[in-house]
Amino acid sequence: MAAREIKCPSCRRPLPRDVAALEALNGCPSCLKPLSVFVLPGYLRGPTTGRAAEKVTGESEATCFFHASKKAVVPCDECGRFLCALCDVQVDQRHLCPTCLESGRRTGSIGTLERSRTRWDIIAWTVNVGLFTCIGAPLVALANLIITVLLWRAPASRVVRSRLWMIVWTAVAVGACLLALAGILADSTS
Amino acid sequence: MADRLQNDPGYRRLKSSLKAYPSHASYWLAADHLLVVDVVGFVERYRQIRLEDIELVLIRPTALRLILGWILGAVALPFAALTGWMLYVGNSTADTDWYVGAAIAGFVLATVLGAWALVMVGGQTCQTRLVTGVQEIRLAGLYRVPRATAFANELRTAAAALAPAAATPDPAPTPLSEVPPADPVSPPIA
Repeated sequence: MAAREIKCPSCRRPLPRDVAALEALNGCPSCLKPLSVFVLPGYLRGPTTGRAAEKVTGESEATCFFHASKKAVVPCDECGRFLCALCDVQVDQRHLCPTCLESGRRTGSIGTLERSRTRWDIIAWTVNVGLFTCIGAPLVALANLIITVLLWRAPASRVVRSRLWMIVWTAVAVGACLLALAGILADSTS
Repeated sequence: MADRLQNDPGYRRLKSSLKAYPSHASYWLAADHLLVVDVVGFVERYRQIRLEDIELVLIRPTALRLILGWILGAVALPFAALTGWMLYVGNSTADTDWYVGAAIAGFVLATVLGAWALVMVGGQTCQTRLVTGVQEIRLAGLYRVPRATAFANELRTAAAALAPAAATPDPAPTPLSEVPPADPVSPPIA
């Protein structure tokens, strides 16, 4: 398969298609800006393509729930509807129909399809840093406590210990609040 | 699948450049895909890229670190001269006001030099892009040439290890008409 055209990220002019020439590049041949290219096996293989759905040839054959003229090849692992090769979506070694895939994405039941999570620990940190000087320690501590308690069961970060950091920022805010209180008490007694 | 990627044996973290809020990225290698975790503001976003779809990694060296270094150096120089001059005048006249001025100029100088040191140690020296058949993704967390090169080599090794397995297509599921019924005799309805 002929490798497709790759463009220089700086001048958008085409780079050589030959693998050896690409790997040997020290810069773009057109704009002469420095550039290193690492070729992976996917470059030679080209984009992967899905299977084509076969047409039904006889009356005894099972047909796709969504395409009556296409041959069913597999049932949906979730709802059991028959699917043709076109409608069969493989996720986490399961065969799903587009409807179940969409509902799985919406409900978050298919972890692989999860696109994003809110980082409540960064919000707690921002509340600490940003609002401390504006509205004072007690309100910051209260805001952090509310964030931590209400959002304790919210999905945590997949990279850092966000629940631990939420506790830390709340503890910092509560500590600052207690220190301020102690200062006020000391002032009033003296 | 473990919720935190560090605890998931299926994922291995690839080293990326220094973290920098409000946005940073981390890269996780699985057996058949790369998981890109981008943190922008308060949201952590996940993006999966199948290794067999990755065609190229492009590393384009940039002069941003040098430019920033020169700018900060140019800002630091007058403050260094000002600090030195104020100290000299203060010594010769024995007027303490000159020392106060020297301390202020020295503080600015130290701040600029600190920023200069940060830029020199962790400043951007390259832009890294990942090219697939249908997209070109800028990898924000890889902005130093040695890290980006190590990343590209690791990715290439993983993709090459996967390539022989990927070259043989997945066996197509057996058409439903050929699958014997699981339970040919239905129980009588009571």
